[in-house]
Formats: sequence, C-alpha cells, structure tokens
Amino acid sequence: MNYIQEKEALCFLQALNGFNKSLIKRLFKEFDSYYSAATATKKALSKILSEKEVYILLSARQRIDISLPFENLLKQNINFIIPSDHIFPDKLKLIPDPPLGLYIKGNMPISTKPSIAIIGARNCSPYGSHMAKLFAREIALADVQVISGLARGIDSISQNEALSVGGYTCAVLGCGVDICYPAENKELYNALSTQGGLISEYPPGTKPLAYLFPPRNRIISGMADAIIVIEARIKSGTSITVNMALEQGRDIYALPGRVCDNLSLGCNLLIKDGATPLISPKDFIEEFMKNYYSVNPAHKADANSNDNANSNSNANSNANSNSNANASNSISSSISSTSNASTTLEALILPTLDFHPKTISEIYHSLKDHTTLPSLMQELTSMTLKGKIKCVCGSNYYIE
Amino acid sequence: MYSITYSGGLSGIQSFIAGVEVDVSPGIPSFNMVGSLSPEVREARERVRVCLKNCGIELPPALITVNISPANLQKYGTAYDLPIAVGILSAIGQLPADLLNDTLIIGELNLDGGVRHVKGVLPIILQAVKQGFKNCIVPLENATEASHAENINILPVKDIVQAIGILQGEAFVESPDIAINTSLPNEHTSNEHNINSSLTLNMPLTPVPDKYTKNKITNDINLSPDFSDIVGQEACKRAALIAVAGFHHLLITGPPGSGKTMLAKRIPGIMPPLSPLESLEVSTIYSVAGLLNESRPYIEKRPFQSPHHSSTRQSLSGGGKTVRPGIVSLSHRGVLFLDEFPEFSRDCIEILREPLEDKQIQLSRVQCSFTYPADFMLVAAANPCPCGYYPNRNLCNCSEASLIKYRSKISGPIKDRIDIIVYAEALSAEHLTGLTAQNNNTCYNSESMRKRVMEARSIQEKRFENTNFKYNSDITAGYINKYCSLNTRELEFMKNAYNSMQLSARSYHKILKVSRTIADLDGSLEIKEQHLAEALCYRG
Repeated sequence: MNYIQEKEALCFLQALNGFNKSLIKRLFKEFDSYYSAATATKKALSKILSEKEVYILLSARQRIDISLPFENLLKQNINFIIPSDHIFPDKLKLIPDPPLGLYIKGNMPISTKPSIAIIGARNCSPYGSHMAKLFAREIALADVQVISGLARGIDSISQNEALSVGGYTCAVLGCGVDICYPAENKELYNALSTQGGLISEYPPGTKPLAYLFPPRNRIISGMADAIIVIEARIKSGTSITVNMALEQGRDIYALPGRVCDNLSLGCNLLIKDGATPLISPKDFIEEFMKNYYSVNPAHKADANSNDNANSNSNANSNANSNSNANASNSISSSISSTSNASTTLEALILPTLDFHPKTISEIYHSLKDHTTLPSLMQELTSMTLKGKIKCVCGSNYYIE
Repeated sequence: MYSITYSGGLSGIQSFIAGVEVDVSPGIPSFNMVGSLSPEVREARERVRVCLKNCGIELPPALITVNISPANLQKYGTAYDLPIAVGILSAIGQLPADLLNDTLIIGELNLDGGVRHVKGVLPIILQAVKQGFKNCIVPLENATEASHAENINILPVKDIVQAIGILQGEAFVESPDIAINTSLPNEHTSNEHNINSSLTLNMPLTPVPDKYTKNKITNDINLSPDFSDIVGQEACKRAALIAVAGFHHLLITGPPGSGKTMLAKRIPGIMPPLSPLESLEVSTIYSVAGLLNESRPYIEKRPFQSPHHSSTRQSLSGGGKTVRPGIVSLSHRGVLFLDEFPEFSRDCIEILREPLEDKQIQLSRVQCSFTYPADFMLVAAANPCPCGYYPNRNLCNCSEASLIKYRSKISGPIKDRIDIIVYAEALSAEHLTGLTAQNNNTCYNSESMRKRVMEARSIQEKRFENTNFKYNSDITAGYINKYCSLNTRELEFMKNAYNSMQLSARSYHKILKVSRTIADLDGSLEIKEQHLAEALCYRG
C-alpha cells in the first residue's frame, strides 16, 4: 500500500459526484485502503454501494486515470494532505470525526506553535470590529497563529489585522479552496494564499453551500488551542463553533459586552456558562501562553530555540510588542483621551461618545447648555478630520 | 351664413386661441365637424344639437359645417361645446356678431342647456388677454379661477341661455332654473319665435354678483403644520432650514418612526409665500391638469406632493394619451416629497434626473412634444437599511452586502443632485415626554425659520442679479469659484477634508454650495471654516 497511491485514490474518490465523507469512510472500512477501494471490481463495490454510485465510480475510472485529480491539484498549486502527512495538525487528528484529508492553498499552520481561533458575528458592531482588531493584533504579535473562517465581519477583520502586523493566519473554508466566499474578501483571500493559508476539507470546485459551513467549524476549533469569541448573538454560527470546541476540549474566551446589546448577549452567556472573559489583550496573551506551555512544555523549548535561530524576527517581534505595550491598554485609551482634548468643546463631546454610533441630535441633547448646533457640528467635523472620532452612515459618530 | 366665435385649447401647458367657424348652407341636412378633433370634441355635435333642442331651438334643416382652426393642432377637451352652439345661432342669424369678435367662449354643454366646468381655463384666458380679447364667457364653476386673469371681463354663465343673453347685449342675466323642455317643439312655432320667447319670457336683468370678483390672495401659511411640533431632531430641522434657504434637495435618512415624514410636511411652511406671478404659474399647471375646482379655484400655497412609492413612471413625469402634467410638474415651486425613496422603482427615480437638472420636463409623443415646468425642491426620506435600524446593531442584522444593495437603489447621479443628507435620530421616551416643554424655547418654529429663509433668499437675490441663477443650489461648476471663493485658511481646511474624507469633485462642489447657503443664513459675506465644517456634516 503506497502512500502516494493512497493520497491519489482519496483525491479521486472525493472528486466523484455524490461521494461524501461517510460514503468514503464506508469504502475505507470495507477495503482497508482508498486505493483498493478505487480500483476494486464492480462485484466488490456493488456490495456496499448503490448501483448508481458504482456506475459513477466505474465510468470515472474508465474516463480518467486515478492519479489525475491529484496531479491537477498540484498544477493549481493546491496541496492535499492526509493524516499520515507530518504537516497534518496533530490536534486535528484527535477531534471526533477528523477530516479525511485537507486541501491547502498557501501554508499550513506550524503545529509546534500555538494557535488561536477568533470567531464572531458577520454583522458586527463598531465595538466588535475594534476589539477584534485589538485582539488579533496582540495575538499575531505574540507569534500566535490566528485561525478563522474568512467570513464577513469579525473573521475577516481579525485576519486582516493579523496579516497587517506580519503574523500568520489561515482560513478554513466551507467551500473549495479555489473559491473565494464571500467574494468581497477577494483581497484577503489573495493575501492568504501567499502569506497565510486557505484550508478546506472539501475538494476544489465545491460551491459554498449552507450545510457545508457548520462541519467546517469543527476544523477551525480543532486546529486551535483556544477559541476567542468577539461578538455573537444567541443563535448563531459562532455558537456552533463554540459547541464543537467544547466537545474537543478547547478553552473558550469571550469578550464581555453591555447586557442590553444583542450582539454581546451570546458572549455574556458564554461567560456565565464558564468561558473566561477577555478583559485586556495583554493579560489574555500572558494567561494563554502560561496555559499553553504548561500543557505543551516541549513547544516552549521549540519556541526558544526558534527565537535564537531567528534572532532577527525575534528582535522584530520584540520591537513590535514594545511599541504596542501602550496600545495593549488601548481599550481604556479612548476614555483617557478625554484628558488630552485640544478644545473645551472636544472635552465635552468625547465623554458622550462610545462605540455605539450617536446622531448629531443625540450628542446635541446632552450638550445643549454648552454649545450651539452649528458649532457642535463644526467641532464634530474637525474631530473626524483629526481622526479622533469616526463617522458612519452619514452623521452617526463613535470613538474607536 | 357664416360666423366665427373664439374659444381656446391646450397643447401641453401652452394654450392657443381657436377660431370656431360655423357655416350653415342649404343642402342635404347634416352636421359636420372638422379640424383635427379628438373624439370628445367630435361628440360636441350631439351635445349641441340636443342641448339646443331642449332649450327650444330646433336646428334648421341645412348643411352645417363646423371648423375649429388652426386645423393642424389637435383639439382635446369639451370647451368647444358652447362656442359651437353660439356660432350656430350666430350663423343662422339669431345672435348679433358684434360681440363675438372680442369675446372668448369656453364651456361644456349639458343636454339640458347647463354649462359645465372645463379644465385649463386659466391658461386659455391668459392667452386671450395677450391677444386682446375683452370679454370671456366661462362656466360658473370656473369663474373664480378665471378671475385671476387681469384686464379681461369675466362673464360666468350657468347655462346657455345666460350666454345668449350676454351676447345679445344684456349685462348679466340670472336665469331661472332651467325647465327642460321635454315635449317636442311646437310644430307651428318657428325657431325664431322660440328663441325670442325663451329669452324674453322671464329673464330679469341683474348685475354681476360680487362673489365672482377676484379673491384677495391670502397666504394662510399659518394653517400648515409647525416645526415646533417636532420634538428633538435639531440637526434635521437645521438641515431643513438650510435646504429651503438655498433650495437644496434634501434626503432624510433614519429609522422608522423617527419623524421623517413629519419633518418633510413642515417644509412648505417655511418657504417664502408664492409671489403672485409664481401663484399664477402654478395655478396654470393645476388648471391644465384639471385640478382646480370651486373649492380650490386657485393655488396660493406652496404645493406639496407626496406620491406613494408604488407610483408609476408616467404619473411622476406626466403623460398619457392626452399628455397631462405629472407629479413633478404639480410640485412646481413647491416640495416633491418621496417617502421611502429606495422603494420607488428604479425607473421612477431615474425620471427625476432631467427635472432636477433642467427644472422642467420634456415629454415627447409621436405627434408632438410638450415641456412642463418642474422646478421643485426634492425632499426624500429613506431608511438606512432594509430593516431600518442601521447603525444600531442591536436591532439591525442586515449584512454589509444588503446595505450596499439597498443604498445602490438610489443611483449615483440622483444622489449627486441631493445636496444635503441628514440622519434623523430614533426618539427615546425621554424625548417624547421630557423635552416637549423645553423644545418650544428653541428657535425652531416655522415662523422664525421662514424669516431666516427670507433673509438668506434676499441675499441670494442680490448676488444673482442679472444672472441665470436664482439660488445657491443653481450655481454650476464653472461659477463655483466666483460665488464660493475661499480664503487660504479655508482652502487648506477643504484640502485636508478632501483628502481624508475621500470626497469626489462633485461632492466638493456640493459642500461649497451648501456652505455658501449656511454663510448666507449667518449673514456672513465670506465662507468660513465653520460653515464648511457644518456642510461636511450633511454630505451623507
């Protein structure tokens, strides 16, 4: 039984129409190898496959060589790994129902390095988007790999941020790795295929169908050492991932929010159920690393030797983490910025704003006795121009 | 036996004087009508014949030919009934011709001799004044409308008998209730006798009653709702003030129930009252559209049109077989309010492009093309997203993609023409209960807002003397530097804003125009940084 032949055969089987995971697993159980299943006689196949499925397999075998799908993958720069490959994540082998193989564009995460999954709502609030950035940045700077799903909202925000500080991040897709879904993340998709990784258990060409996404969530959590949830409604895709992560025994961290915000309700409930609340990125990373090295002491030595070997990158990351020592406290920085306001009106406006966008009239109501509407508008515009506040949907202002 | 009387018709908003020629000659008895007549004009034949019969006048057994000139123009409507009837009487020698030459006659006939109102009376009479007509016989119901034309003697009539009386030289005849002569005319009495008897029987002479004399133009703006009714929404009120002052088009976005419609309805109330000339202009359009009646004989208030979003393209632009003005023309000199703007069909929204740019709309049909004025202020209201609550993520779960899709329903060219975009806040309970009393103290009531608008408008009038422009919003790109010049400091500010807010050239111009208006409201000759900064808040 040849290792390459096995890979080719699995690839061949997965590319067949209607041959889903459970069917291929059944074949493997019967024939004890993918290759012998793929090359089995009609009689042997008929025992476990329906007539139609046998026909599909046999006609495909007639038409093309078994090795062709795998060779085509290599031509498209897509790698295919099975659990016996050394780059196949060890953590993923241990989860219930591990994937048969993974299609990869770009690089796989390094299994000796820690990795964290950042997940959250697609339609996130400015609060969630800002926090996702803060945490992703701190995680990436600590040389921890960021795993997510390339979805809109929290996923793509944190992956973009991780890439922008030079960290590694990979996306686990619910479609083939050759398809960018959602299409608006094309730029991130392209960046990931060179600087990060795009991973899927579905063969290339698989369309992004709704039922394919919940299963991929188990791979996201399976590849990560911990899950952090930025924003989630009560019923959401995020909660599916969290359930799977719990099944797999991963640590769950959740970002607390206001109790009246629907988008934070899921997170707050997770905390109530025992998830660790995320208070500051810095503390989180310290706590996470301590836990990680206590579980994986071997990796600590690895990390150290790596550091020595790549003193260059080490210096780099050190410089980064130094410069961000201040930024790590930036959750509270927006509040403290009140004190360095340049005008009195600005000092009045800043405390009225937060992550939740407010209209001009709303701001005006709280400052009615101190200012007139035109001068308030003037101040808001100049603050926007200075970048102190942000503006969404015409004239709704908030601070990041 | 030939006679000519004068009536008038409409071709779009333009009116023309039509000559109604009648010839009665010996021959095989028949009644023919020519002159590019629509079916309803052609039907006049039956109405006139039966009406005259019921008034006791039998048509002579002769060849009657009616021509309505100019024969190349298509004639619509029912205004020709009365002149045809009068013309026939004149042709058979029953009426003296001397008054007919400088008298315009308009009116639809009932079979019993009554004269019904017709549409488009005002523009026709205005045309008659221009051509030197001295008298005008109009249906009683059109009398008030007609009285707004100057230098012409309006003679309202209730039925054909009154009209005949007038033309026979009597000042004004109040006819008794018409008793329909159902019995066949007496065979022994001649036609001549019939007319004479019906005219001499019981017709007391009375002067023109006072009620038909011209109404004094009153502007009951006070009756329209007031801005002080609105709680909160200071930014929107301010935006409305600026929009009206510079005649900028306005888009109000905001969650459902935040009072967008309420705001829009109050906007006509802060516009300067219609000038007599504007009033005449607007009334003419309404007259053509047949929307003037006895309860509303004349338009003195700024029009406010709010078509439902299911409106069709034609209803907005105007059209139909006999082209009539659409909503855009009916809101001429007033406000066109489009609630739930993105819900309008794309066709409807795109139709606004031409009127927004040229302030008129040209409708072309196979036979002719009409140009209707459409100089309105567009006030649109829209939700920020399909569910309406964005950016409140507590209530809104619309995806970015659906937001983009929703917004793209308002195309770029239309959005470019809307100078001011403002966001209406969702009202909290405190606003509704606590702030009402305080609110009355603020400067935002319609009375004071209108005053400020008038001041700003008078500054603009002076500025644009001897130019094609009227308001700041009219300034075209080539004249921006002339009217909206900035000092170095302000230029620096705008440069900064242009780069950091990623403005387009068009929105840059928009901001300058709006800031010009804000400066005018401030009484400032120069556009200052504060004006620019405020205008930037309205860029949307």
